[in-house]
Amino acid sequence: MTALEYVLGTLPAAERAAFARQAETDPAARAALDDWERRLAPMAAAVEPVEPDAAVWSALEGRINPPAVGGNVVELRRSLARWRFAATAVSALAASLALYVAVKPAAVVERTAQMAAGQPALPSTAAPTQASASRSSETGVVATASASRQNESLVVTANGARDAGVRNNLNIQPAREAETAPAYVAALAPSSSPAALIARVDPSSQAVVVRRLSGAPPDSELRLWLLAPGAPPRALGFAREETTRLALPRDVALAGASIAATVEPAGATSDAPNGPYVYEGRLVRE
Amino acid sequence: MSDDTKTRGAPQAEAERLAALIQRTGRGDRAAFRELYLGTSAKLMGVVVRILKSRSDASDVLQDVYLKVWTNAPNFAPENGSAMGWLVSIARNRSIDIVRARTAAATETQETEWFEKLQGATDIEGEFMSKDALINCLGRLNANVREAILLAYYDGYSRDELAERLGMPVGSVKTWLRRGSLALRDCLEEGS
Repeated sequence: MTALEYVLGTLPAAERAAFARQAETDPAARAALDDWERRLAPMAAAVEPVEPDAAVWSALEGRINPPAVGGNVVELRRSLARWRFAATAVSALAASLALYVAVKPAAVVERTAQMAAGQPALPSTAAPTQASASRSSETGVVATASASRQNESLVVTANGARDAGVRNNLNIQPAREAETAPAYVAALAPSSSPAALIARVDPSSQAVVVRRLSGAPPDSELRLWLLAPGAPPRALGFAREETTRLALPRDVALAGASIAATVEPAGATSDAPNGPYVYEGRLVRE
Repeated sequence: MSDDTKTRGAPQAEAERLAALIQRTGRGDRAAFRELYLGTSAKLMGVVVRILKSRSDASDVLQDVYLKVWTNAPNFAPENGSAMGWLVSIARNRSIDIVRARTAAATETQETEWFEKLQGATDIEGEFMSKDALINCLGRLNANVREAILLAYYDGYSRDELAERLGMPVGSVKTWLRRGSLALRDCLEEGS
């Protein structure tokens, strides 16, 4: 009957975090929790409304468009917000990035590899932020609050990096963006929304290997798309099995690209997505 | 999904409006998010401020709550629960995470006769569970157990705080909640 105590909120912090983790992977625990939420929902009727200060909305408005993140291994999270931002940020970046890739693809790869190999590509403020935010997703509640605050400063950092990139093509560094990714993803999608899919793109074997994780809704028809900057979405196929191997289209640029998933009717063959992207992740170098 | 909402038949205009706003929010519609905020933030602020006991803390938490609403809106499934229920549970969970993480809890209480208040309150439209059934079943619980459930739900009391308030050992609170939980579940399922 831990579910009732979880919903009521009487569990001590450690037990609370443990039950939240259990509910992520254990359908019975999840169902018990949902049942209690539903049973107690009418209780909210007795709560009197309290008008919040106008400052809450203004602050909120500035925070609902977090920047997208970059990379070849993608972690797909329920993070439409990032995709929404990506749609605008990437289109702003797309011209310079795509052009650069088209002209000197090898240089980009080389450069990115150097970055991944240990150049201090991260701004100094980003490293500790990432560390504490990823801790927060493990320990749960305690650190989540501070993670969301750190997120603000990280957003600024990431934006700064991106702006610099826009001014100077050579500074567009997917590796740098990739390393900042877990930090603010953790803040925006705390432990209750675990990653749903991991996709590994291997250009040498022209394959995209997709693994469904516990966060992926069972029995959902998830159709995957490759979203390259400045190009229409390319259908990759459905990820039905625990591990699915899909063919990577030959003529695509992976730098700056994302992989996204839509929920579609079984057997859909349209060239364009039939619904919103429910998961999305930028490719980061492995 | 909206077909499912309609087949339930009852005139649930407000509940459906909120559900539609959450779904639009899930597709990145900022105007819908704004409208959702305008329509629900006072209620959620009421929930949050009650648990956190501080308007300033509550403002911060409310912001986090709506950020989470924005991020999680694509996961909202109207067939699993009402829009308001979904929003309130995000607000309560977030608030309780915060108060549980505090080392020393602020235990000063404004006395509220929650049970009477609940009996007098207007139903939240679109709830699948009837408030009357819940009141009936809460009314059949031992008074202390009922008090514990209400204080935990509305004021965010921990087991320790409940033990202090009800003058009994923490172990007993745990046992009582367990028994109350079984009795409440059985009573509610009997009626449904």
